[in-house]
Amino acid sequence: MKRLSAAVAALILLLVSAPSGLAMGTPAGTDITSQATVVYTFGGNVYTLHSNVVTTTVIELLDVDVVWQDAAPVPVYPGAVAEILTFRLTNTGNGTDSYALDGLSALAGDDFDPLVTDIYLDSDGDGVLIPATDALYLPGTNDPQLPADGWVNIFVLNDIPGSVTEGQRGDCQFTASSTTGTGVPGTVIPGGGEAGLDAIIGTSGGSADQIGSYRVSALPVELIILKSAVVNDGSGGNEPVTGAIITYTLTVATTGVATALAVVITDAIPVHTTYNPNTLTLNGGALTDTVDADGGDVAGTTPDTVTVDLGDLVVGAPVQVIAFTVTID
Amino acid sequence: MRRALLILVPILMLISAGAAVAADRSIELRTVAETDIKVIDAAGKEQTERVTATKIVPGDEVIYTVYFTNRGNDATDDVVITNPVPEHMFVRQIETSQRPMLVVVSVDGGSQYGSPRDLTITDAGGRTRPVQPSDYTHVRWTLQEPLAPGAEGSVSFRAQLQ
Repeated sequence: MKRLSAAVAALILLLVSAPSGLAMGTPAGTDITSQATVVYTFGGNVYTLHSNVVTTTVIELLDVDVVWQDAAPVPVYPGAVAEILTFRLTNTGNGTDSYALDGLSALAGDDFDPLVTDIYLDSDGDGVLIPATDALYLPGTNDPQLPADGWVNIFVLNDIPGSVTEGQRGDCQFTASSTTGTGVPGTVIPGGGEAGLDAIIGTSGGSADQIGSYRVSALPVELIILKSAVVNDGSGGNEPVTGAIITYTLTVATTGVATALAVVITDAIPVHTTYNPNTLTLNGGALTDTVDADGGDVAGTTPDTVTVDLGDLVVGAPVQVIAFTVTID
Repeated sequence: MRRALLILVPILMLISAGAAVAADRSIELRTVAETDIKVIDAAGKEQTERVTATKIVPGDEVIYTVYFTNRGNDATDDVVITNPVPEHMFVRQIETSQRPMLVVVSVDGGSQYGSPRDLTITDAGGRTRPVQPSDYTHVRWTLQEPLAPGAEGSVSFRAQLQ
């Protein structure tokens, strides 16, 4: 019972989200009547007569429009799942109609094929997919029903293959088709319209589609730097007194799934300390204090600062260890 | 039985009175609504065929024609035919009539009539602009000559369903 009432609430919200004041076409079922009047003079008297009343019935026009809502290709990473493309489905006909939805990602003209997994209806009309409140689309079961000029946002979810690379584009085509009928514009569907009226297929052919795109982004990379200090006061202890030597150690590790490009580590020499020349090391190997090919320097690139150029750190690169010592003034 | 007879008598009187008017001094007025459809003829060429408009959809054009005939025995004067534009319809154009006519329109629901050239519309912002056919609420034709017995004619406008 609780589930049922939730479903009913979702349906009501779907209908409420349709704008009411934007009616463009005369509603199906409207009777258009016309009657003329003549006034004339005969024998000095003025007479007024009316013509017959002619009635024309407005039948249901089946038309639909789909517009991709994302401003630009949706950024994705290789192997990402349930990535969302948003489309707006609008009933541009003049009567209530419902629509069958379909997503197709095996398209030519792009760089890779995403894989359609699910389609959701934006039941609460907030433009954001919330699986708890937005309805999973089940073909033939909850085909969205829209009044004339009503619209609903549709979320099409795709998985992204793991093999894609940065900059590649993958397209997905979303299609909405009138369940009353599709086909050649002008085709009449006797009794197929609202309240048993005839329906006629409009210029859209009763079906609309549009393509949305994903683009593979630069992959997420994060550097983790840990710094530690060991004090040696020269008398077997670790009191930070004048003359004590501090050994600083920086470990640099990468996480993520891509290469960290042109990594440069800088570390300022603490105030009240003096760098001990020729103590800079990288992974245990000495680096000169001057700016040269070894990538490390002290106070050369930046005053009072240790600089070490680590270059590119690929996925799974070993932890880089930088060390140097200072003496407390 | 007696009751039924009593009611029947006045009805018969009314009908005969109406028939007398129709025979002697009546203009017969008949409105038709038609639409042009494209058909392919036997030779495979596209032809336009005008058919009665019974079912239409938004965007369709309907030609409303009023046929008038003088069924009386004498000419009638000052024949004025008024045809309100149906709700949901916009006039596209007023068709030319074969008889000399003065054509005026109303854009205010039939209160005032005038030549479209002379009428203006004031919008909600206070700006005034010339009227367009889509503003018309009524079209009125005035025959510029008496209508002889048996004479007939028609007036029409073309309108589009919103």
